[in-house]
Amino acid sequence: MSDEAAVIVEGVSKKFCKSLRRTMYYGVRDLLADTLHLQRRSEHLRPGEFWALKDLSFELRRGEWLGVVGPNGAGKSTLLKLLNGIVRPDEGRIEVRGRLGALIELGAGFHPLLTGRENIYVQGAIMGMSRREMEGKLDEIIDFAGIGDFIDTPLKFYSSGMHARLGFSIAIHFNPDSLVVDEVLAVGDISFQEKCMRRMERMRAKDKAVLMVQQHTYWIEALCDRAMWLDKGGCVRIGKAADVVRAYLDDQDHRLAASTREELSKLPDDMHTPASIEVVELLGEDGVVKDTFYSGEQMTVRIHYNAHERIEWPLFNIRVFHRGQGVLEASMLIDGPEAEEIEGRGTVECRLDSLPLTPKVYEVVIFARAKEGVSDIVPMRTYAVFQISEENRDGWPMRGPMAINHLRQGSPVYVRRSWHFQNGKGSKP
Amino acid sequence: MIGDVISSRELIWRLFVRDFAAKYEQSALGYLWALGPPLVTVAIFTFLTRNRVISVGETALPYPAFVLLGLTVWGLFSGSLMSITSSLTGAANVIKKMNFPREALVFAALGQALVDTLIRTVLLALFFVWYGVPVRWTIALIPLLFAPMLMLTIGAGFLLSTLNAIIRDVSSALGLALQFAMFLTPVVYPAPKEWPFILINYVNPVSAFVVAAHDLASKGALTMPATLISSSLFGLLLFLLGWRVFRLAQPIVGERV
Repeated sequence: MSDEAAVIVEGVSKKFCKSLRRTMYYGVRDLLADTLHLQRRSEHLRPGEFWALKDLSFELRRGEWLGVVGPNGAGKSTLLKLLNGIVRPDEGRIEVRGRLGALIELGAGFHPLLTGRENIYVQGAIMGMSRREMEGKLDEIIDFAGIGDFIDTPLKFYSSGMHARLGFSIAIHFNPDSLVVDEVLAVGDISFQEKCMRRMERMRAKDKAVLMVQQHTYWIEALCDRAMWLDKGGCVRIGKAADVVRAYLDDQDHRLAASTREELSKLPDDMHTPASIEVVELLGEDGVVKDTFYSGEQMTVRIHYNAHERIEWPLFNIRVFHRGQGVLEASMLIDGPEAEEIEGRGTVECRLDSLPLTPKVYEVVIFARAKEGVSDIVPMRTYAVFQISEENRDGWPMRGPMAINHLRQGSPVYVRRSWHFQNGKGSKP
Repeated sequence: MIGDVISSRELIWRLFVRDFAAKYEQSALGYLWALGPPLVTVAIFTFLTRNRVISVGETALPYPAFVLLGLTVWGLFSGSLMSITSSLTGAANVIKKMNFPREALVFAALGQALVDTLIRTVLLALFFVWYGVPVRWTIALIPLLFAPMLMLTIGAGFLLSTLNAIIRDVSSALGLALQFAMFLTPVVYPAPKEWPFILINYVNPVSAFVVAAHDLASKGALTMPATLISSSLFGLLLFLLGWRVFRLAQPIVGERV
């Protein structure tokens, strides 16, 4: 990677309008203003407008792969349109050095009645290839697409997979200096995807820059050098891909936990049960209430109950769920009762010495039974939500190419482990 | 600007070929459809004048040939204007996703109207032979009239296609307006000589070209050279202005088309 910039984005802002009617009105007004060279007051929002991007600055260096993550409406598509020169920023400046290619909508200019071969010429011309350039690459494009005899069949008889393969093949042969990629890498079957990736890797070797927008953060973790996290039109964080992806996913979990918690608070109170649980608190090792824990950390579940009548030998049960699946359980049905009777308000605490969990969002489900353990005195329900954060993973080996993403999608339980090859060559990198 | 058009000639050609090939791909009569509207119109007006429902006065050519010539010139204007106006909205999907010189869409759309005109010219020649119209050498000058008229058309098309990308009403309104405008142009009747109809010759910039085409095919000399020159200059001005606005407007179009 060289330090030379391929794309420079400096203080770029872009606003859009939510109302179709106003869009027409503003469009005509802006058109008049531009024609008559009047100054547009672009720094203010007019009624119905919002900032799709606000004061964004970054650089894409040659040979670098930059991933862009962010929730829907963060401004990712707007950024791609700006880089591609389809819309102009209201403020700021974008400089693209060299030829910029776009893997955005594959085969946007395709016509269904023309054959694949004819469409290659149309699409190539739209992308700005000269006739000579196209003729030189025609065989290579057809070969790469791998659609065989279908190349001389009208496009309307293509499967959607063949359509995408042809589109991708044309786009990738455009030979740009920098490439912006929307969520199009998942085209075709596995072997075609492999082929696309190899081709993209070749671009990296040639010092070409790639800016990649992806919902699926594992692509970014595996392929990108750096990543940028966009939210509400601004850059939340930019830096090493792994760090940004980790922070972004933690934040996603955080939002999920918060929204689950809000739903919980809306649930009606239990009625006509012998006892009820008023509040459940989760405490860290230092006795402070919190909702984000580290893997392996100690957690105390403190249950504030209210026994409306005298209850003998109460048995409390705590289960930790992830996505509706029980992960671990602490139960007095197993461990046995701790108090002979309770009545009125009180608390019971359960200390879990260590949470052997991977970074995810978990729910704490509690129920209670009396004496023989047959009838419920408090019915089963979720009372608390907590998140295992990925920060501070104490000594976990995470050298794999998709460690961050895989840890979240894989098993909730984490066990310390070590790997040994009996007769492998070389040592670990 | 000119340089951009030259460098995108490949694109213009490809888009033209694409639309040309695709337009009548699944049709039996194909390009013969271009002959439908003018033939029907000629038939209607010949019927109306023969039966004295309307009276258009003396025409310098046999009436059906006169009308068809007028319609061919008018059709080039209105056909190109219509297809240019909807050229941007028709390609909205590509415009929103890819960056390329948008003028190519305009010129490719013009190409379709030119092909239609070429086909109608063949029909026109048959009419001239059938009605025994003496062929003057000046008839060969008629295509030269098309240059300034197309400037006018493209200029107007630049403006209207841009507006149509923002407000879709434009193309619907244009279709309606062109139907009226044909009757405010000396297409099916000779150039009026009395007040207030004589205004048509001066206010409507297309009139000069239609009248000149009729003149060159019949008299061999122009009856209104001054209006032809002023209309041509107007065409050139509109072309330059239209292009400028079109260019400036592209970022707005990309956002809203």
